[in-house]
Amino acid sequence: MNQVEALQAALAGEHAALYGVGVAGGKLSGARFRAANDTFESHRDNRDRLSALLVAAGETPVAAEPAYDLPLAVNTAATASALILIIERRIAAVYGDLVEAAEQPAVRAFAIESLLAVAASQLTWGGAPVAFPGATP
Amino acid sequence: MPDRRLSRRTVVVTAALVPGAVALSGCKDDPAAGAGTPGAVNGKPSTSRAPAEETPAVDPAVVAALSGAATLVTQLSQLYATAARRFPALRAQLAAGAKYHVSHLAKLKETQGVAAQATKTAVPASSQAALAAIAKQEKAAAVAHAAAAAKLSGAPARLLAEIAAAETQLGTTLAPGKKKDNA
Repeated sequence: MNQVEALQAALAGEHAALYGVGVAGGKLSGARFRAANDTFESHRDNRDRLSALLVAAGETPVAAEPAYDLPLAVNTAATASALILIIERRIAAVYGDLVEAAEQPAVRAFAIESLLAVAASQLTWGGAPVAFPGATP
Repeated sequence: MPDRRLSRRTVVVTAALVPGAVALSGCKDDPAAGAGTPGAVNGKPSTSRAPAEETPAVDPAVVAALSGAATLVTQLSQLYATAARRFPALRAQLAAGAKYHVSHLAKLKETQGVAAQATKTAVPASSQAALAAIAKQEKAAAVAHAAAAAKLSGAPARLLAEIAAAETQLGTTLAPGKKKDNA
């Protein structure tokens, strides 16, 4: 995987994350809803930064799909939180790939920053520390 | 574009979020990393060694960065061990971090030439102060390893970034006053 491929994969992941967190947010309220909103905003920022990096590289950013199949049914606050945790874990691996594939320091720095951010976010959504967040499952 | 639609529906979040990529096992010695200079010192390649015996040199900058990380991880491991010995009530809380740092050190040492320097660690007198000290050191290590990762590339950069991410999680989890979230 080269840098452009990893950037496109990360962007596709962010599109999917935005969809999933959006769905989950609909089942949350109060502090959890606000946390979901923060998570959504950070994924939106990442999506925009990834798009900008791809455009700067002369590439066309991959577009979002109209809808995504979710790995679990979201019908309660608990399943909504569980979905966001799954998303944060999966996107950590995508950023791990981007750290490895990055050829430019700015891309690598962004990937590292994002990996650390989603690793921290996993704790917000009920996750426990793991030995290698961002490792390919 | 039927192919595209098919992949969209089947791959979903899973594929979008987890593209097939080299697993962390790719962090093992990268034979390509230092290849290309066999026999460079003597002017001609040695013919007496079988190919299987040749050990490509790893970039000294990578070895230095990973050795620095190994030293820091060793310090953390010692801190965990001393704290767990002095405050048995903390053992359960410290078990995961202690185990993860053993894994980190083992992974770092898979790269040829990487070595950790032994250092002394002091543990505070109370269990809460010890926890706070470990959390603080985890966060400091995360910053150091993230910075080191940014200066490398490829698998070594990823390894250091993942270690930094784990330390971020451990530092947050062990910090005193950490509120339990209700998932």
